[in-house]
Amino acid sequence: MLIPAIVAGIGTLIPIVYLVLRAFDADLATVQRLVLRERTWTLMVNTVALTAGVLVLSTVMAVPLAWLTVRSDLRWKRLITILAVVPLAIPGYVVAYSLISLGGANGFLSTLLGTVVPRPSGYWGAVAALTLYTYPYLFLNVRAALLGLDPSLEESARSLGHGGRAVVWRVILPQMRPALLAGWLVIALYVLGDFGVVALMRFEAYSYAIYLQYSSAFDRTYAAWLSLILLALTLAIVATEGRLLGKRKYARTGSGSQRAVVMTRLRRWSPLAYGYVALVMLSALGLPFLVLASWMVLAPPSAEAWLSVLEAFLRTASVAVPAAIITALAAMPIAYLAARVRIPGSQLIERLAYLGYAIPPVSLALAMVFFSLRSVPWLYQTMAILIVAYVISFLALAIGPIRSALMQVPPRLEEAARSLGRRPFVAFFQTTFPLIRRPVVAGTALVLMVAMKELPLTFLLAPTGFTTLSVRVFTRTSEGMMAEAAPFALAIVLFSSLFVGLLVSYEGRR
Amino acid sequence: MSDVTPLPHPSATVVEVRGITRRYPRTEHAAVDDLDLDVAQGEILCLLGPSGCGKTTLLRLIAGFEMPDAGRVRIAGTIVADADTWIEPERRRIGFVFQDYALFPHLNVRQNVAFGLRQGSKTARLKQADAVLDLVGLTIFADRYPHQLSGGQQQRVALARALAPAPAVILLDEPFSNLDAALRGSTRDEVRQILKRTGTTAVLVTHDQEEAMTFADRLAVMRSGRLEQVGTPEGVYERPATAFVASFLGRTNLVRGEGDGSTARTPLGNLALARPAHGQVLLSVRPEALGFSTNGTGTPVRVMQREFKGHDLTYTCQLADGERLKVVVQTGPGCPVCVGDVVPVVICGAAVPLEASTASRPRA
Repeated sequence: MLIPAIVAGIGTLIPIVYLVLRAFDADLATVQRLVLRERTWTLMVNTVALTAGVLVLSTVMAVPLAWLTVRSDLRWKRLITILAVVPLAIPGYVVAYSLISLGGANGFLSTLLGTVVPRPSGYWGAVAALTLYTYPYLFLNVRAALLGLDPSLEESARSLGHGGRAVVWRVILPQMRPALLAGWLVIALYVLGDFGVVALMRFEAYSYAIYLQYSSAFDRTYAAWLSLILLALTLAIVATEGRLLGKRKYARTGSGSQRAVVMTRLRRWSPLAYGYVALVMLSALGLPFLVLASWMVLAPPSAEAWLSVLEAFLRTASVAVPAAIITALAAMPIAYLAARVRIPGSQLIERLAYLGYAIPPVSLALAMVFFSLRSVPWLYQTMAILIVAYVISFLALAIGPIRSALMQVPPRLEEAARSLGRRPFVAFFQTTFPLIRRPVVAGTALVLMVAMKELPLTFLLAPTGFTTLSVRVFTRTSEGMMAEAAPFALAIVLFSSLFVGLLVSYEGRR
Repeated sequence: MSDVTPLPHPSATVVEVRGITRRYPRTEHAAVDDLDLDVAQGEILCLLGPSGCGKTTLLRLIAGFEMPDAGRVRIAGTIVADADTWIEPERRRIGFVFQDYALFPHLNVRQNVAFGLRQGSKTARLKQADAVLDLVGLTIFADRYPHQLSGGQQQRVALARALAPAPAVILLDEPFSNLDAALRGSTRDEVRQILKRTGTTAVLVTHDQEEAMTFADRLAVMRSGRLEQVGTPEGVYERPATAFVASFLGRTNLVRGEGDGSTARTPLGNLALARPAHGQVLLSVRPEALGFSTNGTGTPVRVMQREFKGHDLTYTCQLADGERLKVVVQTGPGCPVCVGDVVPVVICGAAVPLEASTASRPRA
């Protein structure tokens, strides 16, 4: 168990080491001239502004929605909750594609209405697209925290003489803090790591600039430096979240069971609430689905086009399936180590896996390029290097569910099996494994789904001509061929939605 | 079920522990400290001690779930752990019954019991499992899953699972502590009968002195990683070696005295001694060995408290001459003495001179 875990953990570090090596290739004067120019600063401002904009807008979207589905007498709350989470299945570049499809001379609105509406692009385009696909992360966190709020705390505050607004500020908000921070962290990581949206919206945030530098200019040292700065920014945000969260405890301290919540009556506000929910649903879910459906009607793809969609789908699966299986196999020993083995360093290996998840994909892709060119040139531009990058990037997704399941299985079971004559490895597979099989399958499926729609790693690392579904959507959209991109985008959205549905029902059983 | 005949050599040693030591990192004292122990074939030995005394660690050292820092363990003649040998738990021929039973939740009762059976075809193994289930009286539950059973039933499945491969010794870690009081007594009797019927050698860990005394053939009282006393329940109760054993196993009066061979001078008068002692000595006098005299002889005491328990009466008294010595006296339920009375107390039996505790002796 130990050795594979260490190998997998250390593996995360190797590409970063190469990134650093490449960055310090140039002499110091060159580095200074490169890094300390105004452009670096502009990119920083752009990236931070983009992150801030998405955080504000997603908070405005997610928090009222979460409160309405938990604490109000709104109807169809379950349905609304499910619909609010579905955008998780829609990749950012598809949302950007739908937004872009609306405007322009060849756009959907001009075809439909005959007037040319300008295409959304730049800062606001990027903020809109990123918000529409990341807000569910905040929604889910806030919703869970609201569900966990003890109504008697609010009642205590009222009995101590605090009015409604004071209760919100002094009781509810402090308790929501961990959830808000966790949701914001995930969203910030997505924004920093995003490539598809900023590239399609042509907004110069770090990841897009790194790509431009890497693909058009020949100076790769600057690309390496930008990647390192982006990585540093990401780690700074992770560290800030940890510091803001602190070590405070937010759980109930007393005993006794929690009482049921009294739902707030919306009364005359309810039309406003329904209107708000409808607006959020329409923009986050309705927009991509309506745009895609309309393209199917307006410009139905030929049989040939569908054939090439199938071809791209199979090609995508041919890397995503092995990547998912390898990721799960690597995640198991790491999760086991983190949950069961009390030796110094066992937590560290798990942290490294999470680091792999936090590395912005464009930085990781570049690091893999440098690593393979320098050390294993025969692997450069092969499926193997792409799969390795997937594993590094998605390892944490598989570790999470496996680790929490392992925590619930008593270690005594394995000891019992050993007292009945089983070798340690056999004991694990006969007693613990059957109990964590579901999370292992769920983790594998999650990685598979994420890998199926992955864009930046695939775009930068895949062998020449190896075009997956996501690469097709991206290249067609950037060339303005909106109708041609539609069937590929539809395939991704349908596959992801189907998978999310399957995953939810699989987890829900038993 | 008398067809399961006990193995021969009833006096053979099945478990032999010599000088075993286990020290946890960042702790001052060893959890198990240079300890020796023997368990004979077919014997039920109870390890009794307060929580944190190292009894569970000792059991896990025998099982091989913990590695000793020093010492030797021999099971059924084979060295399983010493400075050069380490045999994994799965090769030790032990059975282990866990405090929380650790039944496999994904297997039914029959599959749980058959888990440790490795020889023969699958049907043969399941048949063998059924035979063991019959032994513990759970045949009708064979197809159920652990969560569908009561605590007492789960307990017996755990026992059946551990017994099925016919281990050299079965190790039980506080197996009755998760049962409610009403069920505990009857389950204990059943388990003891099953162990005796199969002639199984067993080591049971408990902190419950009543459980230890009713269950054990031999009792080993543990404190701070060392054995204080080993002997039959009657022997240990009647002749405790140390003050710790005397007060951990039931109630007792600890009385200081001056020994001169067969008797000792004490605040309670001249007491006969169970074994000869000289000079300053600490004595254990059980409450039931004391009584109120009706003919005026004895040491006068003042009754401070009276507890009626149905089958007997316990009086807490103080010496009437002002010396601060608390005396606990146990009498039959019909005793007329009341709180505030001053009555003479006499001893009927011998006082037991105690040694200094092994735990307070200097450590190696």
